[in-house]
Amino acid sequence: MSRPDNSQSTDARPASEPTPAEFVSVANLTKYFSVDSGLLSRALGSQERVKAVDGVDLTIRRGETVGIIGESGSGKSTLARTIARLQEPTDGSIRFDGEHIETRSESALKPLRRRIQYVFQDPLSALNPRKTVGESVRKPLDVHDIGDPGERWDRVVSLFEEVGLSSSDLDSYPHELSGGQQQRVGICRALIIEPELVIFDEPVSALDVTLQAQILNLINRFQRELELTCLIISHDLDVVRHVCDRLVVMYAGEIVEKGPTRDLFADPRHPYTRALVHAIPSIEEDSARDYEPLSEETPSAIDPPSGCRFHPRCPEFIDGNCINSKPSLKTTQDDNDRMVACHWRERSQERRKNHTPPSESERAVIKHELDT
Amino acid sequence: MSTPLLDIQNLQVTFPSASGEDVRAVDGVDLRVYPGEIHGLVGESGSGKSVTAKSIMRLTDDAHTTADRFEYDGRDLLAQSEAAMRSIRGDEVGIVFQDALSALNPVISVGEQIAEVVRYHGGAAESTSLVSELRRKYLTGTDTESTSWRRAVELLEMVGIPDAAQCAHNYPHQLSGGQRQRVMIAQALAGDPSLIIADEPTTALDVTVESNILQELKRLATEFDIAVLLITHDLGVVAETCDSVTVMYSGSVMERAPTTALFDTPEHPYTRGLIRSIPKYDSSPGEDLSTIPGSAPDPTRRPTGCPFRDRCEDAFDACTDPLPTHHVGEDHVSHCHLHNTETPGTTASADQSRPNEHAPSPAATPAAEHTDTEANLEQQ
Amino acid sequence: MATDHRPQDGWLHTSIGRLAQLKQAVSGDPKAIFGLGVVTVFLLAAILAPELAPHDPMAQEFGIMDPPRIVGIDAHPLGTDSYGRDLLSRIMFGARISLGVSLGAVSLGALVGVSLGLLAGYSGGWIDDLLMRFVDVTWAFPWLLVAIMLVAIFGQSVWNVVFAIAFAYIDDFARITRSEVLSIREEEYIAAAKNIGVSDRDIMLNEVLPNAVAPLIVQFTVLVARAMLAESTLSFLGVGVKPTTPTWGALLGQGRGLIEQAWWISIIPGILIVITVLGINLFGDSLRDAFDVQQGESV
Repeated sequence: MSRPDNSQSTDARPASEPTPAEFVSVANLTKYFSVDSGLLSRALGSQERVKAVDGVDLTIRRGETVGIIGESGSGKSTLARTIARLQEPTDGSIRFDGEHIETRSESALKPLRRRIQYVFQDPLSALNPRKTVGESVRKPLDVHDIGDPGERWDRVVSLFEEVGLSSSDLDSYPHELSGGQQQRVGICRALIIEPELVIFDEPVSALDVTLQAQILNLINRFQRELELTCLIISHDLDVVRHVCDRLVVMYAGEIVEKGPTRDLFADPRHPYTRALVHAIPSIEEDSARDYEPLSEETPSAIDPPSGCRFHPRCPEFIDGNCINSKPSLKTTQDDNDRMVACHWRERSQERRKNHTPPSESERAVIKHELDT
Repeated sequence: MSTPLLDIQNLQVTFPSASGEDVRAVDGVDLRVYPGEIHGLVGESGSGKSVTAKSIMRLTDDAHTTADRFEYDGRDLLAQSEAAMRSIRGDEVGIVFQDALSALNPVISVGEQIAEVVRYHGGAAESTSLVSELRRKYLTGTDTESTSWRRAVELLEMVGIPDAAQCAHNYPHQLSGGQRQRVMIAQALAGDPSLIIADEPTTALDVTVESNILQELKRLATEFDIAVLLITHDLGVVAETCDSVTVMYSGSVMERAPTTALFDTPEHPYTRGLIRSIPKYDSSPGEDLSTIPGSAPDPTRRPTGCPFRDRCEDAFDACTDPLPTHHVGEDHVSHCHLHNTETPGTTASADQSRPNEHAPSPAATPAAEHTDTEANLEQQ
Repeated sequence: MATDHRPQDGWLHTSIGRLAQLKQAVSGDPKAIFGLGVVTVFLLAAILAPELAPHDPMAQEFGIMDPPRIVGIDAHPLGTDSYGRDLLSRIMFGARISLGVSLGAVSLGALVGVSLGLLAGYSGGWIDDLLMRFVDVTWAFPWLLVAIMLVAIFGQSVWNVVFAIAFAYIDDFARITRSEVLSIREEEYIAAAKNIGVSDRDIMLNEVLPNAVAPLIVQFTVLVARAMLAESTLSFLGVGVKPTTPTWGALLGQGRGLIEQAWWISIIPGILIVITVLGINLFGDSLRDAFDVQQGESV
């Protein structure tokens, strides 16, 4: 599989002009959900909002596979759905192949739907229970009027066979198929109109390990054959490790680190990424198990921590700066391709190695001092 | 080896079905858990691992259950009355379910739920009559000075919940996923059990929380000398937490071994395939993962003999015979016909069991039958 | 490479499949068989009345208030009424009208109600509010009053009854549809349909509605039964059809004063109303089960 040229991080360019290689360009993307829809709170403007995605910048080049990882509440699914325009962003811009798509109406989005496709996380609920899977896969062809109506079934059948389903499955209803088969149907439906960008939302998390391997191989194969650009959302690092060229790590609605997959695993720079990498239960003998586990204080999406959102749990907490100022996502001195949002970026690695983070009580004191 | 705490031989669990095709979810399973050890029961969906666990506590009484031996602490569980089982459950065996949110009562505080277990099984000298329980549930709640409440708070502290005295008054939905799971563990510990059955306790949790919970479980097991039967589909969890493992596939046991032995020298083709399916640390993206082609058989239509033979590269004629038992090493058992022959099979090389070692070239293939389902997906 | 297998398109294939499911749901259940039987008899009587009825329902030539007599030349199995009309023929023709009125009224109510509910539930926002307030009005307005109003304006006729009853049922269908649509709208497969680029109208009709249909079908059969009773009530009170039209309710009303002398004129139509309504309700139950059977299947 060809790897895109990693020599220059396109994120360093001014956000206004996309380079030709930038297929998808997202700037300051924000998506908030209102919690309380009562009239009074709407009028008073005192609504509480879930800040699912809060100011995300992201670029995806044509032909590459980008993975977005994070735990529950990180905003990764919301980010994916917003990029796919299944929802409208609250703020920010999305540029697809040079054109702005963030405010387009549903009808104006229709030609886009042919070029951007989405594979849903739970394949069973993403299929209409009253339609046979054959009908569901055929539907995109009818909607976009692709090919001759007479030969559309042929296309469906041949795609089914390519993914390992049989033509007799065409007449089955979704609940009659196994989880692996359902996911294959979901992939067929997304690929049958030959899109350019495919977003996979947790494509294998509902499946057994051996099935996961099969589906991942399938995704890899299609990516090669159809020259797809892929965005893969996952909480499972093993999955993205295998399939993605670049990774984006999200925490509490923001990107905390991004860079090439291998580098990120070999040398995670953000404390959260380190925690994630070390937390995976692994069958390897040499995984570092002396790593201190994170506290379970997951951040509130409505009222996230000030400054760096990770600071309450960060095992490498420095000082009041972490509470006060939000670190911006920037490239590091030694690696143009990697971006980290952490105050450690400005400090030497030497200092970092020798750093002892303050204890709970010490942090409380720092916080108190800042508040007064 | 000491005597096992849980000793099950040839367990069969069959669910009757309206259409006449009975489902044999568990087909001849042996399971042994020794006191104080953490034993993993690993399998994919449809393997029968959950049913096995539930049947131990006789929670599957709508099914037809038979076994050559089905003993807990020397007692035959199948012979126990329901009343006797009720006193075993909670008291000697604690159960931790997968989804704490649905396993905990949403309208009763967590402290109250744990205190209740303490009253019934933990030896607190408090009345558990219907009237007093009703009064506690609907009117007063458990007296915070009572033994049962104080023990509940103690247990919450033990499982690592901060601010336990305050937290005990909370309701399940007010806690995070990880905290709820800890509450479940506290509830399982409340009766002072010698065995805890944990059914996929961390599957629903985030990775960072999962590792915390697993470490907590390990610590508690060691500290209180409790045996744990940990059911999971995640080999990584097994590698990190368990002392020994039983691998199940489609209702039968494929292999049983101490954890290190299982990962160092897996003997069964299914175990090997499973280990190899996990993306390796240094695999290159784009290269195909090795996978076991096909999918698990329908439980009503299992092949005779070895249930894995339709997907096994090394399947040959003898595989239609009932599974043999082959002792590989100390407490290491593999149920595969390959061991009775001299031929090594394509997956025989022990070198490729650990992921951070190189994949060797395939060994000489015996005159075996190749099952070649979904050929366009399989890659070696 | 394409094979020769083609999935079966078309409603005929689906309908045959559904009938098979219905048969499976019904067989073995005595209540369901009873219900199906009653509905079938009723339908046959209604459809074939002109052929099967022994006499002209309007003919007043027979003996007045003759008690039921099965055999003989002048046999009237169910007797005659005070005008000398054969009761059996009147009942059979009455079935046609009752059937027509009930089905017509409920269909009309369903058409309007389901459309409103679908649009309201799917659109949300101010459209939802507006439409549901309209539905609230129809619900609050007493249908009996509507019937009387229509009679006052248009005089007595079958159509008054149809419109009045339909008016009463709009809110039932609208609310059920809307609540189904509200939950279906959040399903992932609707997002998937939008993702493909399916238009809103297409989604409403082809993705949402088929999944909302199950409770609506049951509601339909339940309301047909109720409509029969409603029609009987209106006719009984004299606010419905013309006095000579032999609907079962009218028959009930006409025989009211003659209970002591000629009990059969009121009681027999009354019993038939009870049996038919019961049968339709039971049939509706088995229809619901037929749908559940399909949905309840799992791997």
